[in-house]
Amino acid sequence: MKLVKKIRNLSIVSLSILFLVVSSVLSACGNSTGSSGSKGTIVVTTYGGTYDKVFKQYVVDPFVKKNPGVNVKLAPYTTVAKLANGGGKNIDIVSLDDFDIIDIGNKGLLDKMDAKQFSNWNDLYDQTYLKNKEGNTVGLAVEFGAWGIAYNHEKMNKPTSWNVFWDKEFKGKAAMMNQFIPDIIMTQKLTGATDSNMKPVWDAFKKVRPNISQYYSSFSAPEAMFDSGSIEVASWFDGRAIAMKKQGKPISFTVPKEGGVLIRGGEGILKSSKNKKMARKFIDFRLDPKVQANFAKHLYYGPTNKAAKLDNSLVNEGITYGQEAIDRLTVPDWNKILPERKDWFNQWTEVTSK
Amino acid sequence: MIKNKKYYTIAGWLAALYFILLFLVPLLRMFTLSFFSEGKISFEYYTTIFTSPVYLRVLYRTLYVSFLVTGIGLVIGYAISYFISQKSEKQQKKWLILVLSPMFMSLTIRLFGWMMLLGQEGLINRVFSWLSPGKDGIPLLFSYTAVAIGIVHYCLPFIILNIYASLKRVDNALIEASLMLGESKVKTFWKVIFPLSLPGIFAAASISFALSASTFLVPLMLGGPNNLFVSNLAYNAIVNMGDYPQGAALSIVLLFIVVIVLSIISFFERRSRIA
Repeated sequence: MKLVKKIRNLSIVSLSILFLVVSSVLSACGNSTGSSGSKGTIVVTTYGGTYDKVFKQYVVDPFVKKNPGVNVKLAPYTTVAKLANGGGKNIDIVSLDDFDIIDIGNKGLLDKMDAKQFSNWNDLYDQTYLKNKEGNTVGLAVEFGAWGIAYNHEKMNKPTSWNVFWDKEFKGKAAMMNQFIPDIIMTQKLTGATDSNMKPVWDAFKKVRPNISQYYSSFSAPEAMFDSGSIEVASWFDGRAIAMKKQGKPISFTVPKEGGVLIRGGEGILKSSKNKKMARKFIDFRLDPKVQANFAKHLYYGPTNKAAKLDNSLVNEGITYGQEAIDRLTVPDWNKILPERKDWFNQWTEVTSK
Repeated sequence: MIKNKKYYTIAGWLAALYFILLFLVPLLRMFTLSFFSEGKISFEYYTTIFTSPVYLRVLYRTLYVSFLVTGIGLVIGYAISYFISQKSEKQQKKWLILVLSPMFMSLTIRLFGWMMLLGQEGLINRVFSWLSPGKDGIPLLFSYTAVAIGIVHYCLPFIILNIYASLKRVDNALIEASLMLGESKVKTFWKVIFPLSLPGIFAAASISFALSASTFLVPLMLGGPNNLFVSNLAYNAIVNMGDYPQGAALSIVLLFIVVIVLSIISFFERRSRIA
């Protein structure tokens, strides 16, 4: 009897395993027929919210209209951690910050790019090409921004230096970003620290503690914090701050005397993509001067194509536009910083939490 | 009957397989990941956690706040559950739906609501400045207070459901007997109702503690730089630094501690049942 029971149990287990195997094989077949059937579809990750609206209206829809039979699908923002663990299987183009593009480029996940593939290539600013440590271009910046100081102009005067964050007057009224290299770089400039001697930076972050109400984790977070009056000053980037000002909020943006950091939103093509040609065409379209100008008009991001022309009224809003404005901002040497990043962030965590 | 039993066995095995494949296997992978550094077995990541003052502080903070919040949640939750259990059947349903209704909405959105309430120009501070004009508002947001409020809010429905279920199971005849035999209402509560509802309290405490200790969103949104939890450090390690093994080690340590606390709670539960 016992044996019979055992055999029965075994057969149930093997049956269920068989069931699982069969169903996984079936679903795999389904996948392969799916991808060959939907040829001409490219999948692009994006940031969500207002960005997606503008992206769809001024990039995706006109692109699809120009290229009949091609389908463009937007996918949710996908992090480096996910991509590095096989999370990019169905994705063709990734949208990420410059340092993330360079990071996965160094991990060998991105396809190399060159002048032959893009008609707009030679019109781009030098800062547009995102290069890995071998010097190959693995991604292109599609928008520029400035990392500077956003402040409530009803509550305070225009800050002239990054040391405003250390001003006792702003106890609990300031915010910086959580584990963010541009903040560390600006503190480095302020304190005169060097890459080999970062102690002044960590001392400064220790001192700034009482002033920082939160180290925020997403680019959009300061908006709610300014709105609720929880903060009066934050390290932030120009695009969102200008958007808030345009909505009639008392928020202004400035790049103080020590300068700011060039923020670059980039796009890269995954090596695993089966539609590389179409993906290149899409990014090329994204870099078109007119498309770039539309992005500047609706999201206040600076164009990365020199040929993109903006109205004076728009330039006066403070968009990162033109060679001079771009050259004024620091471009971090990411290939040098990325290997140090873990150590920096550990130190940062140590000094910022009490 | 026998035929039915067979189907149940198959269903049971499938469920077990689902659990093993999709829960235990990834967990084991996390576990092994945390012991390998550059291809070699190493305790490096655990040494880091237990020697670094930051990690220890955050670990202590996570547990301390979870205990505190569980205590607060139990008191509030018990009061509400008792209140509901005293209503008529129809009223009870209405109250339960009210209690559960926040769970129909994403936690992110609910926490945004708290941000607006607790902010410098939020409702609470406005009432405060209206009552005592000229004084600065109280900084509520981005503090322990805000985190505690957020977690209590998050755990409360789970606590209430558990305690309510055990209060419903208390036999009315026992309460009547106690009252008829001359015990006061207060004594009847402490000597009859409360002991009989203990299983619900223990279950509620377990769930609340596990949820609090592993919460990620609440400290992230309502806490300041000094209110982060272990889960936030694990997130930073994985997403900002790409340091998987460290993130895995942090998660395993947290899991281990939660399991210990839960076993202690269940030990007390068993003892209370025997007594």
